[in-house]
Amino acid sequence: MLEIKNLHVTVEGKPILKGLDLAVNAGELHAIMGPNGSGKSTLAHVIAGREMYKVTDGNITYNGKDLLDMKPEERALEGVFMSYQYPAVIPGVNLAYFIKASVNAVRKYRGEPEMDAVDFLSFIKEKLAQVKMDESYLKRAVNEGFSGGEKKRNEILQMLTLDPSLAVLDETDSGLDIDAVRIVADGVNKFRGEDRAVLVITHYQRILQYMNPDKIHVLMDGRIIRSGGKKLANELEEKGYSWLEEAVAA
Amino acid sequence: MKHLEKQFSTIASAEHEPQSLKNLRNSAFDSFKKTGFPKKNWEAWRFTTVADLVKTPFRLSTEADLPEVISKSLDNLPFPTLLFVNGHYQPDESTLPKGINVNTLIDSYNEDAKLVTNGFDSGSSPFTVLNTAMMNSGLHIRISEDFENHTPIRFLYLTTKLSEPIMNHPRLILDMADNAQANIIEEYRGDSSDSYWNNAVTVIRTGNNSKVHHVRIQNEAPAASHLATTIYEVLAKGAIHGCFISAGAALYRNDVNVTLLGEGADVTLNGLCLSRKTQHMDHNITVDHTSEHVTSRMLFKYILAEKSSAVFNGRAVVRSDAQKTDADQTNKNLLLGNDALMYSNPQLEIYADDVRCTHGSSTGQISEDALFYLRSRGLDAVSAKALLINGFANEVVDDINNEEIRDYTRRLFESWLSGVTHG
Repeated sequence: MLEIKNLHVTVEGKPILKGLDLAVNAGELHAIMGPNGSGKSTLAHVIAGREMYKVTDGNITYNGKDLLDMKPEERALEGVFMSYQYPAVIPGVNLAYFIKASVNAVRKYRGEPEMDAVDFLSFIKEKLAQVKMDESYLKRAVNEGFSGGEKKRNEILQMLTLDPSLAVLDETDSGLDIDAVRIVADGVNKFRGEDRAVLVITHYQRILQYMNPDKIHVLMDGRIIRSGGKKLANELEEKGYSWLEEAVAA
Repeated sequence: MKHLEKQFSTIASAEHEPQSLKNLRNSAFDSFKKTGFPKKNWEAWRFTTVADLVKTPFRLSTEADLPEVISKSLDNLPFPTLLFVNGHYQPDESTLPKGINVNTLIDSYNEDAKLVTNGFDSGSSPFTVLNTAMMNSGLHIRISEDFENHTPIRFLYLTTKLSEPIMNHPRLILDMADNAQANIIEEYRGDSSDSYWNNAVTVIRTGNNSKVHHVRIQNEAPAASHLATTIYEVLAKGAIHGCFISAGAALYRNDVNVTLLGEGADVTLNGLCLSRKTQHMDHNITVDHTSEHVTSRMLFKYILAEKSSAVFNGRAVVRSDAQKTDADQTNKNLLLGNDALMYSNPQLEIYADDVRCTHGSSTGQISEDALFYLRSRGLDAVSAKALLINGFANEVVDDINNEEIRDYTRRLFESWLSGVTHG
């Protein structure tokens, strides 16, 4: 589903990703782990299409299409979803209005009829329950005054409503207490399916305990330096990232 | 000034007016001639120029300027409307709800001169003084306690297509009885593609414990000049909730003067100012807190597109007798173009020691983070931008208590927004 080859990315002229290769197939959940500053968030933003991240070499294909050739909204409509580490606050726009607008944008793109207010309400109530949010959130401005945990649950809520094929979760577990991590992980597990892929970007292996990753990759200094199974996460937890750094240098 | 003098001589010689009114006009016009039009070096006019206004030979509108057919069905709103066309009140085309009493200014002036004047021209703006000299269309409204407040009343000032530049100096005075309540819309609109000038004075005086919601919509034709003075006087436990929406005119300036006169008096001043092209808009506001336990809240939001410019001058004065005053003043501005210019100047003048006053101002552009967030959820760039601008305006629009007026205002805003985002 997602194939990244030799990806080089600079931010404000500074090289961040330096030849990253990655392939994620439908039905799989991959985790990208790595220390701070290794380029994890950059990878997520490049997949989503943020303009300030400049691709200087390499390519990304998504379902056989050139992802880098698409605008951010085209990527979203084609089924790419990114959950932000720091979701933006949208003052004055209530959550129900916003989610309805994006759900209908996706439905329209897929040639499905747009949802009216009544259909949307029963649809969104079911999704809210899945991430343990109550209906009062619908009337609140998007992310305004939301706690860290509420913002992350709101991201998962949107993932569940937009029905994407590829979900990239950027540090969705950071700053969450254990209950919130569980809610987020449950949401991701409900989302998983044969024709869907998930890329979990995280600093800690904690959230992976509640998921069943097919592969774990370690990102360091702009490249994937090791890939492995669940065991690799445990190893990292025990020994930290410096162990790998030394191993790679040697 | 020459052509103004000529115009003044026509109104000053009107036969049906009593001598005392003629004297009032004469002394106001003398006073206007002494000060003249505002100049750049006047503090309150530093960023607003009236040069085009001074150059244009406006003449006072006459009965001959009325169009042959006055279309009453300008829109299908359910509001009872008092209609003014090119400066002339149209009683036959107007609907009067129960519980309000309408007088011409001359009738009220004859009853008691203070009802019409009461020192309004002692203010700082020469345009208020000029209105006293030239006021040519006006009503004095009394609203009794029996008035059914859930029905909004609209005062609609319409300017139609005209062959030469006309001016009008409307004066609208509303007196609320004790305990009376009302929802008022004051709206200015124009169809003319040529320049015209409205120099309006609006006065709202509450009784004790009376409540007014006043939505003032300035949506004049693009070439118009709209100069305005808005005066609120609030008595004990009275409240005025004012909302100033402006989207029209090449030049718009409103001097808003509020006096909180009685204990517990309360005022809210909200504004949504929408400018584009080379429009210039200016609110010069003073809220004078003169009594104990008074409250005031000011929230003015400006959205400036293209090469437009605007001014917010907000001043809260707290007199030494106005202990326990609670005053907030906020001005937020959204610049949609790199060439748009905003001048913001919130000020506090406090002479009492036991008060709570805040003020703040911020000016910025659309957040790139927010825009990207919306796009990454499938909204195209134009819709995403429109949604963010909508969110910015909602705080003011949502605060309009009457649903019909709120929807009406929202439609006006959305049509402005679609003009801006779709070019």
